[in-house]
Amino acid sequence: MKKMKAITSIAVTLALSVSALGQSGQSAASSETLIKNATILTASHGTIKNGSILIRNGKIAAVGVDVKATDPNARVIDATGKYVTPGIIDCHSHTASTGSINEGSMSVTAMVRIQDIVEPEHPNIYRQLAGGLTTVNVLHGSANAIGGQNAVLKLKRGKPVNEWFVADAPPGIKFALGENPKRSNFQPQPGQQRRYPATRMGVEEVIREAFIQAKEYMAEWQEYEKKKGTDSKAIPPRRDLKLDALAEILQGKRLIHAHCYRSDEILMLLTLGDELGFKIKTLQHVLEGYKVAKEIAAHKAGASTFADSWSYKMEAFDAIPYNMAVMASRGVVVTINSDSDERARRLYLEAPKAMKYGGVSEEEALKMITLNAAIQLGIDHRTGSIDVGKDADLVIFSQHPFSVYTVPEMTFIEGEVYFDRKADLEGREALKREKEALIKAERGQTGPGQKKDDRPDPNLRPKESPKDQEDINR
Amino acid sequence: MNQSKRTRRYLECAGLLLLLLSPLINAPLARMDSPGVYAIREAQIMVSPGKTIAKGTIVIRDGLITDVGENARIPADARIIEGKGLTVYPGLIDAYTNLGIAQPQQQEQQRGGGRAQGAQLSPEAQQSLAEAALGDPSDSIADDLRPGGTAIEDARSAGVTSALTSPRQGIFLGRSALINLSNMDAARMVVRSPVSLTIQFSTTSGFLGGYPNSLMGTVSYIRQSFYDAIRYSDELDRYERIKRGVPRPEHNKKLAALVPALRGELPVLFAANTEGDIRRALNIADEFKLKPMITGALYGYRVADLLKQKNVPVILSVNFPRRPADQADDDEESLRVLRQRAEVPKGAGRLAQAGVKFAFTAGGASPRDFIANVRRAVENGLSKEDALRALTVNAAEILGASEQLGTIETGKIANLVLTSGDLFAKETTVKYVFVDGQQFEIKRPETPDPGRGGARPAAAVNPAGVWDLNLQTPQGEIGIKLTITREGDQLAGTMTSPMGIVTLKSVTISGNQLRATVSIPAGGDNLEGTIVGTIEGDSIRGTMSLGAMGSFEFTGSRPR
Repeated sequence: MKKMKAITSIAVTLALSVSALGQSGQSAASSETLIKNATILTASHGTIKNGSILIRNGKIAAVGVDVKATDPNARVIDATGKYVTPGIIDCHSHTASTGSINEGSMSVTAMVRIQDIVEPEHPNIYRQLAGGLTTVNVLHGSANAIGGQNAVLKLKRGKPVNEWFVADAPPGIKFALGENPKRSNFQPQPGQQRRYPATRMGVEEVIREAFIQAKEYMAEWQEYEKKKGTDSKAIPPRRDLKLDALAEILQGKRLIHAHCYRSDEILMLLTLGDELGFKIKTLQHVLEGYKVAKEIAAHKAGASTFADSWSYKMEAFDAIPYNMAVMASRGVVVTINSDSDERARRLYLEAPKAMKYGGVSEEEALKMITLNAAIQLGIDHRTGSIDVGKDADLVIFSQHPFSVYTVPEMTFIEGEVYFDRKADLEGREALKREKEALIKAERGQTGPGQKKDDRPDPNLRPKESPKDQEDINR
Repeated sequence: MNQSKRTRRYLECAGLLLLLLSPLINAPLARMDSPGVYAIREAQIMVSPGKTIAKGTIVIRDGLITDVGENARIPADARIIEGKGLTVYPGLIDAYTNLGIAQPQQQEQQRGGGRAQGAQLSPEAQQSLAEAALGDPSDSIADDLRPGGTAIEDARSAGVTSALTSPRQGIFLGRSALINLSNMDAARMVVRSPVSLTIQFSTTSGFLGGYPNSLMGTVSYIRQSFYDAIRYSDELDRYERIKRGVPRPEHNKKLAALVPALRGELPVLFAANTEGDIRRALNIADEFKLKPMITGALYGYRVADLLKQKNVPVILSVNFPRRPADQADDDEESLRVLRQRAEVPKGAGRLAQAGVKFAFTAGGASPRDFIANVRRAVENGLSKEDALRALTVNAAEILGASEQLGTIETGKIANLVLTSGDLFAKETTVKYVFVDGQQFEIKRPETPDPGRGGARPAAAVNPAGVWDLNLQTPQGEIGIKLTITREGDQLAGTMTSPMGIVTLKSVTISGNQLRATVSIPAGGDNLEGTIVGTIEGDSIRGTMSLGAMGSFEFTGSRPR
């Protein structure tokens, strides 16, 4: 991850090129775009050779071998010899966030929300678009047994951040099991108490306790709803943002994404869910999932895992390359995630590992970074595959997406181009000149306080912690 | 002596009416030699933005403007100020400062342990620090003002006659006050209080592991606090209606202090510079139907349309980002950063264009840079008229004092600045300043600013050695050890504190001014610190700013 820093400046230059050309989210004169003569990997109904996709008003209007634009002014992209896939979806990301992704002060922080810290300016966003990524599930870190609320975003770089949220994605929340929430590998800060829990048993108890509280809270509100209007003494209970989120889980409105590694803790959580009345939507990392794949499938939980990372830490020692294939063969909806802004740029090279280890079909492997992720996030009605009526979230690859020689050439979100390799390359010289001009202009002027030391603005708090360092609590 | 004699005689003649003013004369810090009546004649008068009297007279009596105009009559008892060749402006307003804030008190802390030198803080001190990091919405700066001090004098000498002031520590910064920068006692400096409930998105920075230690935690903490205040308000209302058979609400001054904000009676001023922070603030304001204002707003131009649409007043910082002074010439900076530095000074012009109402704040920069930085905004597209409006009328309106301040009109408070010419011209100097009708000496900066072609700074002292610093915090003294080494021209060092040992990111010396920056790992984030101190022999004094935790003064020495 350290290397990331070295290439930051290059990447930043890259990152800016699209906006320099004034075409991030370019609006064509026509509402139609036709991508023609491509090999289309639909992720839902096989591969279409020499096919075309018609995009109209941000949606896929038609897909097939003899699709034509209706508007004579439609933008036409000739993709002869190229491949088109659905926009890639990363089911476990911490990108585009500012400040810490862990509210690590307590073991249950269901009240905190990633949506409050989405940072649309980070250069990594452009790098990920350049890797064909269109949608991300931005999760709270794994420091807490019950962490904060996640945000499902499309990387609409250049658009106001409120337009990034996938409005109809069901809300979710992060849970975490094992070493991270029990904090056994972390020294407390000076003056800080060691936090409960310190064992896996304790993690279980923290979750149970939280839901018992949530049930009491729900009962309190029900009681109020009954008395409201008739009892003059009845006033609304204290609204508790933490318990609100837990109540939504019990009501089936909020999806749980649970960080886990070992099979014992996975079984614990599934059983605990049955006891307390909640369902797990996805198990995250889940490197020992292959040992309990039947149970995961029976719970109808999805599994979102690393393609490799075998034995990368103690609780991952029993990880095997065949994990994805074994879980998929037992009927589990499997995805491959990044958990890293760097890996997120090349998920299309992670997916084929499921073909090598376990013989998953090409389409199944592609689903693991597209349609299956959409299913896990509850947004498969609008994205994840190349089907008529879905959002035009698409990637054009120079070669087969699973080839190590492939390069993503264009990335579309809802029909708009957010990455265009050709435009990027052409724009670099202009960016270089702009940079030189800015430096020259700045050095030439000696405005007030230019070269001297002042009290810093007390309102200016340090915004960018070194995000390129991998957070071990992810 | 002459003056006080005159005052006495004057009192005798004026009779009953003036007895009403006796508190002014008895006030311990009031100038005894002021007759309180002035006439500024034959001056160019900038009555309000766009309205000028080419040659006119202003009469000041007992703190107020009693007459202004081409033919204003000069009273016989007035002291005459020759205004020929001078321009009179309404007193300038810095709409967000920490002026007049009491120094942290030295409390009896770390009982029995002496000061905490690189050791753990006592549990009491920890608790106190954690509470300070959250802040207290019921704190009212008007109750805690400290008159005098060089900061107020410096600001006044630059033409700033009023300022909004706010405490500087905590998420809930308490209630701000609009003050006049006179040298009267604290009670009579206050023009209006409370002006706002002030909130910033700071965290406990992992200090002591308290909640919230992340930005998203801070947002949740603010939201939960308002929900708690709603519940508290409901409980109070119920108890008002029904006393029998219902639980008695607790007395909770913190929650009670949020209720006026929830009712829209007290505006909520959010300290927010980035687009993200501004959006966070406006989301909270929407959720609780608050009356939001934004201070800082360096990047506010990026959401100018949103600010206009929601009619949010802005107190715009002119402390524009600069290339760090200690950055080497060949250090690679990203295009993004370079662009930001070029764009931010254009922000004021863009806000004006979008129709956003804004005032200015120096943003913590030195007072003499305040107007210079406003000039930079003017050079970057803001009209002079809009700049003056932001410094005067708009500030008065935003801070709820447009009847008293902001223009040179009869009946308003006599806050005036007399300059040698156009306020926004580089060579212009401030000649006279009136605050509350009192004339003040102009304090010239002692050392010419080396950045603007002044004298060359003196040869640098050698800061190498081990420095023991006592940091004054509201929670008591904290011991810090700075170890600075020197190899040729290169300085480096470490800092030992209760947070552990860290390597200094940068150390520079300019004359006898030491500057060091440090990044303290704290709860997943870094707490950025800047130490600025003046070295005299083996002693040092200065301030350490710790991000949103605030700035703390220190003294220290270098034992040989």
